[in-house]
Amino acid sequence: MICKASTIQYTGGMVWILIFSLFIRVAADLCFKQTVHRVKISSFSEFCQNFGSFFRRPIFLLALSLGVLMLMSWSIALRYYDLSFAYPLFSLSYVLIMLAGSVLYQEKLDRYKVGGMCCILGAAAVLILGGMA
Amino acid sequence: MKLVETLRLIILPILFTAIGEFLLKLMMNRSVETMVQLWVHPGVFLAFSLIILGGVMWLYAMSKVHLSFMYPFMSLNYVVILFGSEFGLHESVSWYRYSAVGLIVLGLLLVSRSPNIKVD
Repeated sequence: MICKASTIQYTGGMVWILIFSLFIRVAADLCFKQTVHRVKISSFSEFCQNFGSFFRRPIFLLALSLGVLMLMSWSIALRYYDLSFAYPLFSLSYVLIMLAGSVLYQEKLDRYKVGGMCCILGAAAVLILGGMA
Repeated sequence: MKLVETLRLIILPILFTAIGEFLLKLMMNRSVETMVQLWVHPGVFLAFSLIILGGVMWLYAMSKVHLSFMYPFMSLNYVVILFGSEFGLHESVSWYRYSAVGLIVLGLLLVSRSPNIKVD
């Protein structure tokens, strides 16, 4: 893969790498959540003691693999986008994770969370509009 | 828990993540033939390590302080990255980006007020 370093503000052709990184990040976080779901841990030291047992769980190995894939795709995205553009846009992962938490784990979406999601969606819209301007 | 210790728990992961992201961006601005050349570079390895370490420190902090206290500080990450990008990486940061980060900070402050952010 031959690539050139640049600080392009909005690259329509490379937007897929940002979207890919975003969805991989969300998938990795959901796998990490599934790893510790219903696991009763009362302290961080207990968490550390049980950490080794996570490696025997396929979902945790999948989460780690997705995490590595996310870092690789994120680094490619940073070759084409400014950090001040891509990093805030990645906050969209909060919206996707809150929606996924509501569907998969029946986490309540109250007015504060919905308000927060709207603000983050608005921020993404402002970033994209600013990038195209 | 003392305020100093709480701030240390929160400020350190923010610094580690921000420095890791700045270093990664600096490395990604280099001209190379292939991405693999970059991924095996010690600078990129260090950047990835700092980002991962920052993430692990966030998890540790979450076990110590309430999420409602953490969320507003999470938004601080975006502010640090934005100012660092403009003054450290010399990116052209428009008012669109400052407004967007303002909205993200507001959004995370709203989420922190939710009574449904702790696992029972």
